Parts: sequence; C-alpha cells; structure tokens
Amino acid sequence: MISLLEYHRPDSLTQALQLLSRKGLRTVPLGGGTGIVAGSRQDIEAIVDLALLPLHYIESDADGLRIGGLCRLGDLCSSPGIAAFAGGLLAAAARRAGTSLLRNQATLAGTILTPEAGPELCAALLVLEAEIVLHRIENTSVLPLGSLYKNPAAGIEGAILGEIRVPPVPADVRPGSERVSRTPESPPIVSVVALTHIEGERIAECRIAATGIGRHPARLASLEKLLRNAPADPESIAALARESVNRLELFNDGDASAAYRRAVLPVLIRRATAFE
Amino acid sequence: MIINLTINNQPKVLEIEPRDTLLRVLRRNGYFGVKHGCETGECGACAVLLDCRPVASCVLLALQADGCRISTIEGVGTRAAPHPVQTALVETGAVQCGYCTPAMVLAAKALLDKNQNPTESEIRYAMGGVLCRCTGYLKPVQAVLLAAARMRGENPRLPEIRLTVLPEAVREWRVVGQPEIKVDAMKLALGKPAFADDVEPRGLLHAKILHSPVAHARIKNIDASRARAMPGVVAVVTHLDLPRVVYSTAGQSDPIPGPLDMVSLDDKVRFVGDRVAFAAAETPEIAARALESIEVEYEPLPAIFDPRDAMKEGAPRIHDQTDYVPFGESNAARNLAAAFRIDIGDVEKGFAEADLVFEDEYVVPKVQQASIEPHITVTWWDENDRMVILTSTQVPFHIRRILAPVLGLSPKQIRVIKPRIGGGFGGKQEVLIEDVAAHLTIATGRPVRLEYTREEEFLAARSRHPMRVRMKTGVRRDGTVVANAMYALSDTGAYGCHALTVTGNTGHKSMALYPGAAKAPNIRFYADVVYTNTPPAGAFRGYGVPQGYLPVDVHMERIARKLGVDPIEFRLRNALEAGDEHPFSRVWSEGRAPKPEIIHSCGLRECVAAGKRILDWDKKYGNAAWREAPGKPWLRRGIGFAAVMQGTAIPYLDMGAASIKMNEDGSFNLLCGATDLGTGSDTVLAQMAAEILGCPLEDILAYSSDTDFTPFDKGAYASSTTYISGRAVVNAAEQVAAQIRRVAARMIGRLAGPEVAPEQVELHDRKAWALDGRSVTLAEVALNSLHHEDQHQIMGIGSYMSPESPAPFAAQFAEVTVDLETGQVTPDRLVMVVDSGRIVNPATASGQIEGGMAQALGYALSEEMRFDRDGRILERDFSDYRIFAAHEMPAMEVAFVETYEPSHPFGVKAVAEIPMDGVAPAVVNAIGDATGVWLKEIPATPERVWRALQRERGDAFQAVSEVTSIAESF
Repeated sequence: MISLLEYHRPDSLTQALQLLSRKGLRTVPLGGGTGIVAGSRQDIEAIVDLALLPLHYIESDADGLRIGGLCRLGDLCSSPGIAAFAGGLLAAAARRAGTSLLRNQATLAGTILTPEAGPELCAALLVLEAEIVLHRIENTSVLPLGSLYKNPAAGIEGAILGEIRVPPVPADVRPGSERVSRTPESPPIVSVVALTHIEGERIAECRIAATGIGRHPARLASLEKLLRNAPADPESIAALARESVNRLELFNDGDASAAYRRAVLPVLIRRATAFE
Repeated sequence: MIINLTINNQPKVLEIEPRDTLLRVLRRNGYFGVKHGCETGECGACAVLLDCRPVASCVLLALQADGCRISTIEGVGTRAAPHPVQTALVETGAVQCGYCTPAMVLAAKALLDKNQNPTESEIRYAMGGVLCRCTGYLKPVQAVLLAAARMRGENPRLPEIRLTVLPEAVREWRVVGQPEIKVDAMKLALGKPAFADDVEPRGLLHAKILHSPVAHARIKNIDASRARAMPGVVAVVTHLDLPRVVYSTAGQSDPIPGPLDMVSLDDKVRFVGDRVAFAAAETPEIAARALESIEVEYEPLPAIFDPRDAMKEGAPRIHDQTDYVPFGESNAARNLAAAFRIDIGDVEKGFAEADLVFEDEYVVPKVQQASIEPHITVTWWDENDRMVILTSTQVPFHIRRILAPVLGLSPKQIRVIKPRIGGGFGGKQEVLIEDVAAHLTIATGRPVRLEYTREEEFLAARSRHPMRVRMKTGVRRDGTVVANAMYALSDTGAYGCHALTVTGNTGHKSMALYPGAAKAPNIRFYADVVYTNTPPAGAFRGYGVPQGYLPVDVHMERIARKLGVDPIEFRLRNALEAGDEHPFSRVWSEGRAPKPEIIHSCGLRECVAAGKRILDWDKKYGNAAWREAPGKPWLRRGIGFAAVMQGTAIPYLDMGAASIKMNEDGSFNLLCGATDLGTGSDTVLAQMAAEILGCPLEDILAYSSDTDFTPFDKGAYASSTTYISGRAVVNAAEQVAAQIRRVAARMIGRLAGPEVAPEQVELHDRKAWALDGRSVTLAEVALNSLHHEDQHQIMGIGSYMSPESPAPFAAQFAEVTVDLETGQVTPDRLVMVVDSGRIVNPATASGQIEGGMAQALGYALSEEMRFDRDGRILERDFSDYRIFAAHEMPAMEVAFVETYEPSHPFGVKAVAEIPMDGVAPAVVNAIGDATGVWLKEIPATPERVWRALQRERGDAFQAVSEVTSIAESF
C-alpha cells in the first residue's frame, strides 16, 4: 500500500506547480493514479492530484489535435474526433492500453510517462510526431515526444505534462499496426506502428515506431530513411527492415529473446507498411 | 481527513487516511460487494461506478473520489427488484463462485446505461476489465445480451444447452436433469456479504507473513525485538516461539499420502517466499512495517532450481531436518518426495513385438490456480474458548484434523467454517495460511485476519506441478498400441504436498485410456517427484492429469500421422470401452491398496461423433484449402483433437455425508459437509434431495459447510462431490422419504378410502400421494409429526464411500490460426463434448466445462511461472501472468452425451476436472495440423512456436529402432 503524508487537489496550474516545486517532501503529480497507487510507491510523501485542472479536453481543428494531459484513455477510445483521426490509429492504440476499467482512470499524460502501460499508444503518438507541452514553475515548453524517450534522464521532475499536440495527418497517409503478444490483447511482446505515404510504387515517406525493442517505444529513424523512395513491395521493405533491425541492439527478457525480436520485427514492419 | 461521497445516491461523510484506496474505504464502511482480487486493478473485482464509469477501486485513492458519485453493487438491485443484468446472470447460470459477479454487473450496467443494443464484441470489451476464472465468460456475455434484449422490450429465449441422452440413460425426473437456478446465485449477484472477508469480528488484528528473500538458507539469527516494540504491533512470532510439529499442508484424508516435511516456522527457508516470521498488528501497514524491522541473518545454501539437478550426486539436500517423515518411496537424502515404478502386463515383451517404437520428451509448465479471491482466513476464540477458523477452503474437515496438533489443540477445540469461496481450483485444497492466523490468535487472544496479496499468491501459494515427461510407445503397423511407457520427472518445489498423488494421477488417468486394441495392456508408468528450491506445487484442477494428456495425446496424434492412419480412429481403436477393467486399478490407488474397477459406462465414441458434427470436422481435416487464410499467406488454420478421461473421486477412500431435516412447512434443511466453491454443488445436491422428497428445489435449504454443524465430507476435490456427496444426500433423502411415507400413509388412511401401505406412497408436487389419488401435503405431514401424534423429527443422515471411480470421457476439439512468421497462435474455437453420465444440472455443468476450457486455454497458450537465476518468481501480478479476458476468448461450445453410470442412483459421473485435460493437446495438435510441426513444450507462446517452426518444417518425429530402458534414456 502506498505510503502518503499529504494530498493536495489544486484548482490552478500555478498552485499545482508551486506544490510540486516544494523542497523537502517527495511530491509527485497524480493523473489517474493507476500507476502510482498500484506501484505502492513507498518513496512518495505527497501527491498533487491534478483532477481539477482544466486539462481533460480533446480539441480538433486544422492544426491537428490538442489533447489535455488529463484526458482519460476511455475518452480517447470513445471520441469521434480521435476515431476519425489518422485512420483510427490513435483510437485503436488507446483501446489496447490497459483494461476497460483502467482506461476509465488512466490519463494520456500518465500513460506517456509510463509507456509500459500503453506502449502502442505511445508508439502511435511517436509516428504522429506528437509534441508535449510541459509546464514548469519557471516556464512552459513544447518538445517532441520522441525527445522525452530519447533522453528520459532529463526527466520531467516538477513538471506537469499539460497537453499533447498532434499535427494533422495527410489524407493519403496510411496507418498500420502489427503486434505479437502472449494473449490476443495483452501488452505486446513486440509491436510496430507505422504511417506510410506511397506514391506510385514507391514509398514517399514512412514513419515507423516499435515497442519491445528497448525501455521505451522508439522511432526507427534509420529505417525510415532507408525506406524513403524505396519500392513499396513487401520483399523490398522486408529486406531493408532486416538490414536496419540487424543494426539494433535488442535485449532478452521474460517475454522474448533478442533473436526472436530480431526475426519478428522486420516481419511486423513489412506488414505495417506494405499493407499485404 | 474527511471526504464527501455520494454512495448509491446516499450522501456520506467519511473519515479516511490519505493513503486509503477507495476499495479499502468502501469495504470498511460495509460495502462488501466491492472485492479485493489484486492490487493493480487488472482483475477488476474491485469495480465500482465512479460518476457512472466503471473503475478499479483498488488503484484509486479515496481522496480522488472526493465529491464523486459512487455506485456499488449494493445500490444496483435488490432481491425483490434485481437489475435485468442480475436477473439474466442468475437465469443463464453465469454465476459460479460469484466473487467477480458484482464487478461484471457494474461493467455491464455501465455499458447498457449508454447502449441498450450492444454487440457481443462491445459487451466483451466492456467486460474485458473483469477477470473471471470460473465461467469462461460465455454465460456472462449471453446474460448481458439477454438483459439488453429484455431492456429493449424483447423476450428472447435462454441459450440452449446441447444434450444427447443415449437410449440406455433415459429416465424421467422432475428436478434432476433440469437447468435449475443455482441456490446461491441471486445473493452473489446482489453482492451480499457471503465471503470470508465479509466478516469483521470486533478487535480484529491484521496479520502479515515475512517471506524469505533467498531460495535456500539457514536462519542463523533472527531478532524481532524492534518489531515487537513498535506501537500497534500485538504479536510477532518466529521459529523460536513455536514448537516443531511436522505436518503436510496437503488437504487430504488420513493418513496423508505424502511426506510430512513442513512445520509452521522453521530455522531453514527452502524457496523465495518461504515463511520466516508472522506479525499481528492493529493495521496491515503496521504489521508490514513490523516485519521489515525484523533482523534476520541468513546462511545461504546452494539451491536447486532445475528438477534434473535434484537427484544428482552431490546435490544440495533440501530437507535435512531430523523430524522429516517419509511416505512410501520418498527419500529426503535424494531430494525425492515420491517415486513410482508401475508395470502393467509385460512392457518389454510389448516393445519387442512392436513394429515401430516412438519415443519423445514433452515439457509442461508450472501454472497458478489464480482464483480471483486470494487465500483468506479469519480466526478467533469463541465464547467457549474454542478456535474458530473462518476460511476460504475446499477442505474444512481436513483443516480441523491436520491443524489440531500443529496448534496444540484437540479437534474438538476447533471449528472450521467455510463461507462462500471465490474460486479454489485445488489451490484451496491446502492448509496454507490457516495456521498462521490461528497461531497469532493464540498468541494475542484476539481475532486475526490474514489475506494474501496477489503477489503473495504467486510467491507463496501453490501451483500445478511442472513436469518433463518422456513417452515411449510401441505400435503395430495396423495401428494397434502394444506397449506404452511414460516416465515423468515431476517438480514438487520446496515441499512435497500432493507430490505422490498428483503425479500418480498423471499416469493413472492418461496412460490408462489406451490399453490397446488387444485389451491386454502393457503399460509402464515410472515417475520421480523431486524437491527443488521453488514455491511448492500442489493440487490444481485436473490434479496431474493435464500434465499426462499433453504428452500422451500429442504422442498418439503424431504416431497416427506417421502410421498414416486416422488419428481419431487410432485413438478410439486403442481406447478403453465400457466393460473394460481400468488398467491401473489393480496396481495403484493414490498410495492405498488397489482393487479392480470396471468401466461401466463410456460415451467416448458418441462424444467424438457429436463433436465432429458440431465442428464440421470432415470438411476441415486434411483440407489444404480450408487451412489457407485468403490474402494472408503467412497464416494457416489448423484443427485439433484430443480424447481424455478423468476419474470420479478416489475409490475406497473419499467419503461424504449429509443430513436432511424436515421443517413445519414441508421444507427441508440439507446440511452437507461437501464444499461448494462456486461449482454449484449445493444446487445439484439439493436437486437430488428435491427429486427424492417430491418438492421443488426452492424447498431445500442447502448449507455447507461447518465442522460443528454439517456432517463430515472430505471436501471439494477429485471431482467427487456430485457422485460421492450426492450419493450421501440420496441416502439421507431416502431415509427421510421413508419416514414421510410412514406418516403420510397413516394420514391418508384416515381419509375416505382403503388403508395405504407406506411403500405405496409416492412423493411429488409437495405432496404424498396414494396410488388412488388421495394425498396429504408435505407441510401437513411435517406438522403432524412435529406437533400432533407420534411426535418425532423427520430427518435422516446418509454417508457414502465408493468402491469405484467411474471415469467421465470427453472429446476435445480446437481450431487455431498460426502465424508462420511470428509464431503467434490465435485460438478460434473450442468445442468439448463430454460424457459425464447423466447431467444433474445442465446449466451448472456446462458452465463448469466452459470455465475449465478457458483455464486450460491459458495452460495451452499463455500461462507459466518462471524464475530468475536466484529463484525469484518473475510473474507477480496479472500483467505478467496472462489469463484470458472476455474479449480475448475464442468461440466456445459445449455438448453432453449422457450415458448412465449404474453405480450412482442418478447415473452421474464427474464434470469438474475433465475440461482441464484436453485443450492443451488439442491446441498443440491443431498447431501441428496447421504447420506440420508439433510442439513438445507448452505454453505455445509466440517465440516457442516460432522456434519450433524454425527448427523443423514437417515433423521430424521418427520411430526409433532400438531404445534403452526408458528411465535410463531420460
């Protein structure tokens, strides 16, 4: 059970940030709480519950999506705007984050910060080139989601992930996602999320993110580069994917060996991009 | 701190602590329908509606809910006005143990509040956050569809259950054979406080166990002084405080057929998770902190994690205590808990006469029962200074007998009460934590509650024995099995509970199915059951038999294909039939003297035929076009089969008893020692009583079980209750019926007309009838006997111990899709056709089969317990240990072929365990059918399948020409 001395539920961002910036008490922000409470973190002394902050919105316009950090995953799943966005890529990924009950509690910000709770959702946001808005006591900054995962050591201690911005996706870009998992809907052992733009018989642009290849979901930038202007047939894609994946450092864990990941990842990439 | 909640439309002001979860606050305030199943929100048993949305209250701080509207099951419906979902769950037989039912109701209600016309897929997704280990989800989903239709004003029919009654089994009964509503279904659907944790004696203390962080060590020093000095700590107990009393935690009849190798607390730990100390405190947090402050100095010892190392020369000795009591072949010096060397017929002669001999090795995993209700016990001294143990158990009478010496009490000083049980599956056929709470009640004089967390369930509860099984089978080219040998290396973990009996059943039930077409069986079953420094194995539904059928059936399938004969016909040609003697019955009987047993009823052929029809087998099997998935060349479909049999109780041992007492209104109290753990046994036992006593089911008030009030029953295991306890109920009911007839004959004789002999009186429709149509009501009979003349209590008591263990049979089918590139296996369909004799209640019986298949699907595809190099378990919650959820399940169908088992008055055989046996081999055979590659190890995880596909395209399985002795070759 979590050990806790203080609980705060501020109604303004400023107040929340002030509470988080206090010295002395180990204080963390709380979105849905599913990770923090389940984790029974004994190191937490104070919680700042962000529930009253106006960060629950989903907005859509010509500039893309703006999603409040406190938006529940369940709301993402049921939002018509999210369902229509990027061919349903985001909505489908959200449906695979946690259980139906946990999705009614977990927030998008919390999931981004603990990507193991929704790896495919985070991967989908990566290929959608989402940006995150971080509020700190001293400033507000916007940074690509990818940079958070590339440099997690930088962390976001004392910050509040207030918004996720997703730029519009061209209509002719096709989404794809593939996975292997222990049971049909359990968290993936390896998964690939892709957005592919094909012109004629060639790949004009391709964005690919994978899970199960490292601590965090990651874009496969070198492969994306290889695939640009490459033939859009499955064999060519698979060959380039193998070449690229062979250069990745993969790991063994209880779910799968590095050898398995190395063999399966190109297969998933091929399927997610070539639309067989 | 104070929070304001609106709970079930009632404003509440509640005082809480910041760390309190909503689950804890709700239960503390009497909302017992909100259940604890895990601490990560993944099982969903703790579901409540928070502002109309289902959430997991175990991962929600109560403070987060401040100002919100909460709906719990207590606010959803009442017995007089249940919610349509509750009604439908009850009517469809979707309520088994009922522990997760309130959560299902809430998840379904939230969906139907928004959408009264949901698809099945939408229902499955909505309920996907509530894990159920009993039902397989089929009936709950059917129930929600039914409720939705009714809410739309439609009146659909209840789903039908396929029953084929063979001609010899036709009987006319009024109550037996009907899909009666479970007697406890509505109270469970309403979330009434019925479970062990729903009782809170005044002054309750909370207990915690300090578990060993190391796999094998001697405790050199232990200092609990700091813990004892902590405010709020009432008692801390270490091995220094308790006398050594050896026992076995296996909940079995006397004498325990296994080694006595356990004491409540030892100066040695034998697995990560073993007991080091106990604490009782005013809160669970204080108890946990007290344990953290105990200083323990461990002297590490070399450990064994691979069972193949256990008997090697120089292997560390796990049980070196001087008070170790062996049983049979157990030999602590060799880390051997049990061993078998069984030869039936002349096996070597059989191999010599074989045209071909096939040999291979198979590996089956350690898996967890994972009942959604964790182990929980509450103990207290009653007003007579007797120890009351309220516990979630399958074996209340065994607990009393086994614990009495451990606690230094006599059995008469102990009362064990079994409330409703939130699933057991064998995991609660164990005296697992009752001694801990009782020791602490003795130490403190106060009531003590001890509940395992989900992590503790994985760390320190029981599991299925993992095994390495080597098969060697000799056949003639015409498809006759002439010799069959199995060697099983079984891993019992750190203690030998159920070691002998579980592994004995591995051979006894699976190898026995194939005596061979010549009916002169040559069968060898050798096994070694070894200790390792891993959490102990124990009883788990199927009790060793699933471990046997994976190798036996997959081996048979592969041999048939190599011989070029039809695999199903190959099995049937060599299988047991009615009239055969059980091949093992003269050589083994769970550690007791064996006696011959005849198979009286066998519907295996009819099960196969029915299953093939349901599945359209002949159009799919061997059909290359059917295997293809259009547009996805990397996918292959496959179809698989397995034939299985189980047993029904342990012959010459298992005993059950029941008493029936008639009340003034013609109703009856049925008191049975049998332990309904969600299976519906209270209902089927009551149905049998009602049939004989001529009343509807609602007039039988079933109660089980309490060692003070109900007659003895050995408990719920070995698929015995309907058969053994049912026969006891029949015996009791027949006594009561005879007494009713005597009184009724006298009363009818006074009515106009001739005298009536008691034996001419019939009981039905709540009346006693003369053949000429005169009658008196049962209520009149009861009133007469209690108040008017020749006053006496009409009651009876019956017992039964069976000299037989009639075998149920089944045909299990599976369809899967295999991804040839990734190894991902998607289960598409499971069909099981079962011969369990006559079915007392088709609704509860089919629910048992569906739930068993779902559990077995996890065994086949996803579930396994693994350890790191230091023996620490990797799977500690439902995120890592994957059991199938509602939205992941394949289509499932169940059908029954009803034979008539002549050794039971209602012709019944067992249902409960057989669905665990066939799914894994059928799935592996389906994967083989799809790919040509047969897995030799389960679960069939993507990587395991992928590796098998990489290794061999086509089955490299070949007959061996010369084979050494099987034990040596292993």
